Amino acid sequence: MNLNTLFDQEKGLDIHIVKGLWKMFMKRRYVIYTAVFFFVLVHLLNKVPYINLLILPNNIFIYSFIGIMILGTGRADRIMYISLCTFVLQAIFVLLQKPGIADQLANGAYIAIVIAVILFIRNFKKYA
Amino acid sequence: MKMNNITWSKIAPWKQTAIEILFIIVLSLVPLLWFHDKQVVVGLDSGYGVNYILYYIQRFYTWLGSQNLGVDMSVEVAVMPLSGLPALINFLGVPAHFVQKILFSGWFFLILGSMYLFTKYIFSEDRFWAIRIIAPVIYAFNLHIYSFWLQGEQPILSSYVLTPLVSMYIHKFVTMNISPLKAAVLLNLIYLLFGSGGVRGFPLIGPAILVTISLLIFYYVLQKAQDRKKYLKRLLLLGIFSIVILLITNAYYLLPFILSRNSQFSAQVNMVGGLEGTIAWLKMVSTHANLLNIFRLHGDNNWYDKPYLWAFQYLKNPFLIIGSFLFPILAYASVLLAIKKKEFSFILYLTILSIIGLFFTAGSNSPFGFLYTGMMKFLPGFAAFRSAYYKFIPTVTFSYALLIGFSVYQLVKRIDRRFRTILYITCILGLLIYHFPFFDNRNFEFNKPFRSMLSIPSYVEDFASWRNAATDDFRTLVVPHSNKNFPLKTYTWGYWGSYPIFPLISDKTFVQFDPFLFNASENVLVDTLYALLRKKDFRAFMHAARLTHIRYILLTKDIASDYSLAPTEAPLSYEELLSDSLFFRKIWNKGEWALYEIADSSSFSKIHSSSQLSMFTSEMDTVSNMFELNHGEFILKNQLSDTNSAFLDYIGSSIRSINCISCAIRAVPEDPVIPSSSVYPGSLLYTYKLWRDNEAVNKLNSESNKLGTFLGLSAKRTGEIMRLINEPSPVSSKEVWIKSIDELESNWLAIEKEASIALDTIDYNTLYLIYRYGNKQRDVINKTYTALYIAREGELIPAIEETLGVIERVTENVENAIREYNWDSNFVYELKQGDALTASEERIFIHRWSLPKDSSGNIILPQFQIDDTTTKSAVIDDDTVSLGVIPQNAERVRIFFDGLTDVLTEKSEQKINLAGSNKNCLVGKVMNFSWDETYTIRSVSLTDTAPKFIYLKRIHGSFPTQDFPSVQTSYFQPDLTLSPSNEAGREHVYEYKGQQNDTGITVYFCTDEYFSPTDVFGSISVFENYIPSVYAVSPYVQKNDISPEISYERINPTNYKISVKNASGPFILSFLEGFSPNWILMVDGQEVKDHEILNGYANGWIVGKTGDFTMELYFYTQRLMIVGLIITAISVLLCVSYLLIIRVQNKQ
Repeated sequence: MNLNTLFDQEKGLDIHIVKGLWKMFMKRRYVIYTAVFFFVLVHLLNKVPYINLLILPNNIFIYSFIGIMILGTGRADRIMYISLCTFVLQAIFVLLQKPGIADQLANGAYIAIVIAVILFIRNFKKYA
Repeated sequence: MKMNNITWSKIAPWKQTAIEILFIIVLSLVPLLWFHDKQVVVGLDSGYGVNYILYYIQRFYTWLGSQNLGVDMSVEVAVMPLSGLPALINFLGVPAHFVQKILFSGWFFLILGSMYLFTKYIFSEDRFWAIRIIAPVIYAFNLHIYSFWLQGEQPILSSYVLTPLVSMYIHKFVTMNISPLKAAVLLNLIYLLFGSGGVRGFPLIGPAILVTISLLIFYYVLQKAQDRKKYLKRLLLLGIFSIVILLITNAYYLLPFILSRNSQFSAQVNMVGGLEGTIAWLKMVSTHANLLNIFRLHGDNNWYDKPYLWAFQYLKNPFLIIGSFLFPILAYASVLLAIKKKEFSFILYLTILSIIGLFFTAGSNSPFGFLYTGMMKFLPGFAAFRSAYYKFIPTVTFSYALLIGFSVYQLVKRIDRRFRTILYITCILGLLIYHFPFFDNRNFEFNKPFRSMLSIPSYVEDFASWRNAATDDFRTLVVPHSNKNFPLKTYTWGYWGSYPIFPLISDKTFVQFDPFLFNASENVLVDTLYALLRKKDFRAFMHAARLTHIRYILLTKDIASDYSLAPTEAPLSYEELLSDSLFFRKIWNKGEWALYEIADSSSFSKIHSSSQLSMFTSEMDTVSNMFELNHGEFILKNQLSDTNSAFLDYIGSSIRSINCISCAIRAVPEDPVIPSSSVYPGSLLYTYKLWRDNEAVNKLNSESNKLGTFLGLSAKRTGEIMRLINEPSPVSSKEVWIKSIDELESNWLAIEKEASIALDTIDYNTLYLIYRYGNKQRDVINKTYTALYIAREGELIPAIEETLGVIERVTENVENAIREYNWDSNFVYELKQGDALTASEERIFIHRWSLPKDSSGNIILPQFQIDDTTTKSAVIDDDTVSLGVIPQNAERVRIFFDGLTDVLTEKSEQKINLAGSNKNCLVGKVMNFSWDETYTIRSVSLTDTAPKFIYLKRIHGSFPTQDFPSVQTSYFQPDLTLSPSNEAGREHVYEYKGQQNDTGITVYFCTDEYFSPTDVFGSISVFENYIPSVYAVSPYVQKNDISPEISYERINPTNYKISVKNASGPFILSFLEGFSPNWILMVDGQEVKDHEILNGYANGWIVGKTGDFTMELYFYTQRLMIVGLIITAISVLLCVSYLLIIRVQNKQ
């Protein structure tokens, strides 16, 4: 359920993760297909003249896409772990004076933490 | 090591608690490191007086008479307890310079202590001691609060105390530890103590509100389904009890706030720009508050682009950058480290709280900034949270403090027992080291030489003591005039603040210009006072000073007049003016301050009677005309509460300013905008766009602004057609573009009709508007025509030619009318008032100061022509410039001058070295320059080959600061660069108005070094851009003099007893304090209803009673506050008694 479980795997961690991810992907493939469809739709709409005026909904679509992707595929503790890793990346990018990338990572981290918390609440009894 | 073997488990719990508290007490002494000698924190937004007790006494009243013309403080009562704290410490015998040391340490202890209490409540077991220390340290030592420590801002400090205490009692409530009533009582008592300034401080309690709402919802979600009903019932009870107790315990400020007759709060919101201004402010504050920054508790907008500021190291130092990212990593790791259900649920709650806090702190930033902006627009009252970062970051800090404390505990727990204590101590030390600015008092010098902690000069204290000892109640005008745009008061000894220094040191009244005064008409009045003095119009100044109850002028030579952010006039100019005039005598002088008394024996008493008034029927901004005539006290027609006001019976004469209708033509307006759109002919949406524009035309009626609509539409069409210039071939086809061109033509045919009406009535404003739009659009269409011609797009050329013909015809017709006179020396005034023609026997005057002067400084008298009849000359009549009596039914007067002076000195040729290039210039200085005048700079381009530049160099002193350092360069640096048109024969016109510390300007007309400027520029001139201020006065009618003898006793700033003797009839009672509907005059127990604004700011009543009698004058909300204080005191007693009773019962 938490970091310990992940690190307790002594052998074949990489293969285990890949297999796990594939299983997760197959299990939630329709959610992912829908999300990808929306993502592509937004980008196609973006190319059509006059629609690019709709910057606000565009953002919502993109963040919804990230949200659905994570919700559809992730586990709370892993998502939280990934968002912690992004803070390290953010620090590196800030030190490299690339605040734009760090800023996008921070936005992603925020969305990821929100999703993780939603999943934590949903599985509260199980996790506790 | 032996130390390492000592564990907390071996120490008795009470000793452990004692050590923890001792540690907190020691940390609370940190502020003592900040104070050196007898320095005090003052200025910025600190809100501290210098004389604490005197400052507090003023704050005890809902009318602050010491600031300018008086300020209604009815909505500010809640700051009274915070102002009272330093006064109380001072009153108890602590020396003034020691008061803040005690106060600051006290607040530090309260912030640490409140967080400690909450942490101890949640993590009460002995083993959690590290969390109990780390959480308060993070909470009290953070960089957000540090910015406010540098000003000692008590409302923010108290909001920091409030949040953990509210959390604790809400948590006790949701976990069923206390009843709804007890929770409501406790929460309200805490709010009463640490409520951050009541209604105005409401945004500061944002974190406490977020914590409360999130806790209540979180525990509702955690409830089992069958328990939720019970939970909601308890919640309802808590809500009801809380609201009732809130109303009664806070009655002392709620009563004046709610029942005040003055709707000043909404007026103040409008003054800061309404909703649009609020959102613009939000965006400004949120500039750096993106998630990247606020995740690590950065993002303060004041940190950035200031390399001299303490905060800059956090942006550049790699160790501090890495350290800053440890905060979110440790905070969000906690949810992964929590194992036990109880711990996990609380940590999960704190994580949610941090997420909510981050959302609110980020304000208008992505990804959810649009939601925040939407809430500002549509959620009533939410606009109060316009400073999102400053108001909500404490929520993130609060949650982080506990989350990080927990993570550290969990991580260290996995280390060998022997090293744990050392690791905890290292962690605490690391936190303190990371927040190293807390231990450095140099940071109070936030922008050298400006400091928030400073020593008050002895002459300031001496002046305050001397003036405070005086018994008179006259006002003092502070010179020089402070900055007109930026509400800053800065002194060379380090003071920097928007709040004036005078209410901090004295309870006497000082008047100082302040662009943020919430009463616009008072601001104009104060501005006029300065202008009259500056222009040496002493007679008018004396009159204005009499009406504003000003008797003294304080010259402050220590003002930082050359500070670039907010320059002010040079004090020396006032020193010369005051010393040279017989109208003033110096009565006090020490150091940099000198006090002058106005030698006027006819000063009004603050409360006096009169029987005659003048009426000014124009806007306040021309009130200087009113003072020139010295017709006594006056009312403004548009300030009367009723068009049939009883005050109209007392009018002896009526004065009105006359509007210059031709002046619009001589102004240099901005170029009309040609809008560009992405929807142009050929687009699918273009038909819809045209349909919408046609709908706008169809909806026009007799009251619509037809001209505005057609000009707007023509600009739109021109913008579309302009697209053909860049890409004629691919998109130009007759079918696609002809619509747009035809529409443009029909728009201009409609404009032609409007122009013919304007030509009949010689409506200069309209004619000039059409001329500007016509010129601009003609240029654009001409360019398009040329582009099409070159590209051989033959189909569209006839249509464009036709349209161009219409635009040219209209523009030329209009141009003939507006070029009739030289508008630099001709001014046409509308004598009619609305539709009414001129009244009989009205005399017309021109204000002396508005007339141009010759090279000897004498005013130039104009000639005038009424309705195109005989030309006459203006005459000087009793120190005024008169045009005589105007014939009845006259409509217009044209005033004109001969021989105006070019104010540019003899021009000399100079070579200047700009960084990287040399220029040949013609250079001249502006003679008799005055910062409050506007100058028109003109030149004509003689050639279209040589490059042309016009540079302006201001002549002023310098006051180097860290934000505006004085930079010496070896090359020429202009203050303003203008780019004249290169087209030969084209005239270039530019208007310039100086800054307040300017003593002159030099103008450079330059070209490249290969050309001679005399061959490049012609007709160079600079003229003072004056507009004669013309006004009309009706014949003076003397009223019966019924002015009874008035004497009064001032009980306090909000209460006066007035005695009247020998009143033979109804009279006007003047009270020269700022007008407020909250001022109430009582005669025989009845309120006097006829209450109007007098002299543009003061109070006037018509009292009908005759004979000898007494009256009472009081400020309504002060009485409400006293009633409220009694209610508050009783309710607090009841609350405390209730808590004591249940405590006793529980013990039994």
